[in-house]
Amino acid sequence: MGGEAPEARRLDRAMSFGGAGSIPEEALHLVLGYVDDPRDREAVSLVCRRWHRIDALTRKHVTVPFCYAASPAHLLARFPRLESLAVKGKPRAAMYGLIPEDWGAYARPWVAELAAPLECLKALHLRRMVVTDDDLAALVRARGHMLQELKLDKCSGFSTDALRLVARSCRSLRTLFLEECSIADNGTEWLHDLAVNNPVLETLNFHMTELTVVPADLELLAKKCKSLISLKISDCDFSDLIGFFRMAASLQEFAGGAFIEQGELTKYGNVKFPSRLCSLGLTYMGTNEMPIIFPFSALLKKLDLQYTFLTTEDHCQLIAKCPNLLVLAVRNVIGDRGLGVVADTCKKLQRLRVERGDDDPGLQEEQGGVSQVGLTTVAVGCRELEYIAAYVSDITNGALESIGTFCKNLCDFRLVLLDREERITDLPLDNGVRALLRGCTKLRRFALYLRPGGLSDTGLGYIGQYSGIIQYMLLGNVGETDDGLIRFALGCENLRKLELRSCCFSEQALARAIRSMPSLRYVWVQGYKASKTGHDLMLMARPFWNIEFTPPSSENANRMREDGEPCVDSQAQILAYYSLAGKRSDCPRSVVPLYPA
Amino acid sequence: MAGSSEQQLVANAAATTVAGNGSRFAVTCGLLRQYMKEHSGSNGGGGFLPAVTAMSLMTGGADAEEEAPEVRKTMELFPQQAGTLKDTQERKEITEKAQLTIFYGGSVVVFDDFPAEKAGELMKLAGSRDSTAAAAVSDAGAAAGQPCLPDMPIARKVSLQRFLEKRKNRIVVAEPLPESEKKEAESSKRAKKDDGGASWLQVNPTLSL
Repeated sequence: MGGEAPEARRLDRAMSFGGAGSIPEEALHLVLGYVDDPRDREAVSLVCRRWHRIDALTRKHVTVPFCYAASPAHLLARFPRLESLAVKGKPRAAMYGLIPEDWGAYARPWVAELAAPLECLKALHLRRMVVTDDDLAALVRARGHMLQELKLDKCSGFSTDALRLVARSCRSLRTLFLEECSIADNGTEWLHDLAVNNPVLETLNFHMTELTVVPADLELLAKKCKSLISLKISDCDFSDLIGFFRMAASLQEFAGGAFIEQGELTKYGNVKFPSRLCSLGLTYMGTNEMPIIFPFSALLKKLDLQYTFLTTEDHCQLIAKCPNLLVLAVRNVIGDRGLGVVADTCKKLQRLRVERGDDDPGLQEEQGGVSQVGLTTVAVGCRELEYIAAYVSDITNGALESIGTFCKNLCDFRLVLLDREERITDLPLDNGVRALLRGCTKLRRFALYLRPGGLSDTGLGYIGQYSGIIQYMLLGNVGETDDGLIRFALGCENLRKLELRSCCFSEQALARAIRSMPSLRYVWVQGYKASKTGHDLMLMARPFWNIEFTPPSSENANRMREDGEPCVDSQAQILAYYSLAGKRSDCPRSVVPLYPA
Repeated sequence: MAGSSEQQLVANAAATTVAGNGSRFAVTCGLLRQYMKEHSGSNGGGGFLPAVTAMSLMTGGADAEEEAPEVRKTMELFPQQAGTLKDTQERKEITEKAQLTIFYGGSVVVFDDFPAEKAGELMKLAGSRDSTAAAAVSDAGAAAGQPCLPDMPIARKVSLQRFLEKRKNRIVVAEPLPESEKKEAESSKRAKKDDGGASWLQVNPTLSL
């Protein structure tokens, strides 16, 4: 390659423009048909007007990372032939109960303005949005006959009535995804109708919903949908699923269910899983039920133990029998001991998630959870890791260094230091974080949530300096002063999305830092030195930059989520983002949009 | 259902009022903490003040009287810290130490052996920050405008929290307690629930992954 620079130079922009010598229109259409990566597409669209036009006509999929960043009309005007659309709504904090239910992110304009005119649309994915039965009815009316994929991911606002409509009308549906949605349950008919009407269904997911299931409907589903490869369901006793598993010959992935009567081996001894099953997450599985996995555990590629009752020892025994795992999700009950077994056994592991378990001592078997010891052994043992997310009870610089040294494929690293242990072995983590960032050059996402004193201004500066190609960051309880934030910001060339929580930065420093990050297009902050009016935020005002300020208020402290739990604490929040859609018109009363004067 | 959530609203409101009273005191504690962090130097650095103690200072529902003893416990670290100093320095320090009493927001906090020099700096610090910090707090209910916001618990994923609650319930069903203990557990559970802000601080908890 090196010696051929002059050759390459001939491929200059002139080729792209019209006129003699340019690539024919048809050829460009064909070539671009093979370009899928959105970043490549973005680059293509910036070459010239002609390429921009052809990209627009041939783009099949678009993700709108934030629903208020663009308008449906804009999207339609530019990409009239979309086959697949994903739109994301509420800030991620909504998954942690930090965003009120009435915050916004309504699906209505997207469905109302796009469902009919996007004539090629086959797949719709909405994440953390409010979707009503009317929206789904409108979607089904316009696109139901050709809809192949409907993903409603952590959405709320609709009922099983709309699901029934989908089940009856969308006969080409291959994927119906409802994970973690809050759905009003008006009856189980939707599942029956889905089984009867959708012979091509491949993936059905209503995991972590409260929907009731009739086991006979699942059996019918297995009978009718011969290509069902993935099923994730709400709670339903495994003794009632024996018939389903017998029928579902193609099934490769299963999650959910329930062992209602734990310890009743006789009751669950007859559960036989389909032979192709290689991805599993059995809710409420306990020590006594675990052996039903053993016969095929060596085939498992994905294992989700987050929602089980297993002890540390159980984790060790089970994982020792799973040498082919690529994906493992657990709670921190796995302990350092369990992670040791992971490191010894799962040499192909690509994704590891260690969630936070119960804080109540006594309910968690292994005291202390996961620490630098477990992380280090995993880093050394599992060299293929691309994703590590862990809630740890203790941490050292050395453990982070190990990750930087051994996990060269890491794209996504997320670490939360829990607040239960008073003493942490080795703080601040400045040098460890630097070593990790220097070593893991493929990192695109990075989250670090510590405690006061966990990372100094110098360490925060390192994060900026070595941020490389990182596009998304979440930082909590890091830095000491505004100076640290400014140093951080000066290094972040490629950062697009930033979330900050519980940091001691002033409003003014935040505004200055945000302005100095050239690629930043979305930022969410909670927990900073807020002013009453957010006036210093105006320092970051610029064209197309929407600023939304949620003032600290005792009123917010009393707001309730749908399930009656208190929702938003009284800390101020800032959300700021680039938008082509202009002023947001559906702000709730708790949110104050700030715009340049 | 409506009744219980109403009750909780009331409880929350009450908690907020208490927090309102306590927050000036909280501001002082925050400033103290910040001050000590900045000046702890080589004597233990960030680990000087255990963060967990700091967290509990700011819990919205807890009232000031409850907090004070904890603060005092924390502050007693001063003599300990001085103890690590070299003899000559220490002798010098001793001559400049006295009892410091702070009246703030309806609370009284007493520190033994407080170095005069540090007291002076503290006065200066409190004087310079007082107007802004107090203004921010007056409307905020809780302690907004706080350096290092110690009252933000790590938030827990809603889905996981739901599972853990179910799990807890099942464990209780699976291992039934003797009648008397059960009643006790239930009543303490109820008390927790009605406790407004405090209860969610306990359950709620990290934003993050």
